[in-house]
Amino acid sequence: MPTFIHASIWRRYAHLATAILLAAGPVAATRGLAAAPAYAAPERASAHEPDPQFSLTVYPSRVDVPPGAGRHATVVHIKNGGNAAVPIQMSAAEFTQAPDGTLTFQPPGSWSATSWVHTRPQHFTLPRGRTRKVHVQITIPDRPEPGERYVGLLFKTPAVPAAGNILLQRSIAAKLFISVPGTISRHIEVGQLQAPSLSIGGAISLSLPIHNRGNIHQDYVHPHGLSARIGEQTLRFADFTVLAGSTRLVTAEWPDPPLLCLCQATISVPDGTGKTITRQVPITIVPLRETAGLLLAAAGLLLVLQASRRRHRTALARARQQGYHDALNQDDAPRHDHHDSN
Amino acid sequence: MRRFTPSAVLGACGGASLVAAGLVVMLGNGSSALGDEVNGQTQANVSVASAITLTGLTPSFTLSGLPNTTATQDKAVSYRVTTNNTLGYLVSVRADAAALTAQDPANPDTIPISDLEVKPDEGVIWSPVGNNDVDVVHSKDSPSAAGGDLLQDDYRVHIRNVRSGTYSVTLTYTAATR
Repeated sequence: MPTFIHASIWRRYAHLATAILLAAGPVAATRGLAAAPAYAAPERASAHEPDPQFSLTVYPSRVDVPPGAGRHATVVHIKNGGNAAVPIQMSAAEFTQAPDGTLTFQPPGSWSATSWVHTRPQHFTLPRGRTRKVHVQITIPDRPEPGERYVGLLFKTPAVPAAGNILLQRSIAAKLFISVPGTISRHIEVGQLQAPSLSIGGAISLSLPIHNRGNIHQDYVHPHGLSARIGEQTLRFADFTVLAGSTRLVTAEWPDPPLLCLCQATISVPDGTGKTITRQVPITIVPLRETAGLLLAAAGLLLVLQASRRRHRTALARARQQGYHDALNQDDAPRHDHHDSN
Repeated sequence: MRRFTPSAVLGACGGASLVAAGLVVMLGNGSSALGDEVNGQTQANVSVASAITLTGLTPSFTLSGLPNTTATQDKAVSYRVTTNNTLGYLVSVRADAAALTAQDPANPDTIPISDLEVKPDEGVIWSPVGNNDVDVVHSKDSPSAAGGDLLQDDYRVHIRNVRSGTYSVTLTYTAATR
């Protein structure tokens, strides 16, 4: 009995609490919505959206210095598109290229070509909205090794004291491809075109290693970029450059291959001397997933049919048996009519 | 019926000839002018340089935590890279020192820079920050979106059993075309 009293009291309190919540809900919701745009939203935006106060543009981002005299001059521009003046410190670093195309700027060494490059001015403050020319003087020493040297011009803005304990220094690079007078060697070696020999469906990735054994870079840029032919389809590789002495592993994706195919991918790579190197790879596409799905569906259908037939047979047998029993019952039933009539 | 005197006829003929000659000269000039417009095409060349822009890189951030824990900050660094370079771009980071050092000169403890790790916000693999090797945090083999690509990096630090204090280091972010 006390349990019943308790339950009824709780139920009454629960109804009361629900009523209070329903009444207060709209007020709380209105207050929340009103407060959110004023305080929470701007904080979130400033936390993850880059601050446009700082914006630096460098152009051109690459300068090809032609072979010629020992001295060459060029100009690189830097524009301050931010809202505040920016101090700029110039420096130079040689860079190397990884197979995935990323560049690593090396610290200056004793044989570094960074000593060939002099910029004027070395450091300056760039007011907001202003563009400044940086004059670059390249002086190639006597009897250098022929070929190309790769130097990055780094436009650095020193880190400023700030609230955080990890300070960030910003830097943008313009690349100099410096041709050194002498014998130019163009020598591209192409590895095997790689693709899955058997695909069970879905996108197919093609990759091709390209080694530049020469002493000058090789650009594969549209309209002279690389593309693979697979039947009637053409797969374009993204534009890329292979620096002298570097290896690139370039890839292209075949996003929508057919369901079934015994095909061959072919690629022709200009080696820079007017010749082309051709590579091929066979690709077999079997719609394994679709076939498995169809088989599974067929097996399921077969099971359903068998079960249905079994049920039908059972029902038929039961009906027959029922009919037999009914007939028996009918035969065994006492013939009252006959007796009654007698 | 009106009669013309020979001088009037001659004058009229001369005038007509002059008008005709003028017209021929004019049309001649005109046709050459038209020819310039029709056949001689005026070519407008717009020189577009390959450019790269770095916008709004976070100037600093803080990682704080207790000893023997890992302090993490998602999206600690945000910035935009804009480029029209068809080869794409890359962003790398390098520390300017081999360790995070205490701001208090009396504190000799340090946190090795390899204990500071970075990953792109959308990535899953953390890479230790180096001061000799660079970490390429973002790399793309095509131009950025017209308004720039928004890039964000997460950071974490494994805090050793060091004295309490503020340990700091400067990282250099470099954006370049590929």
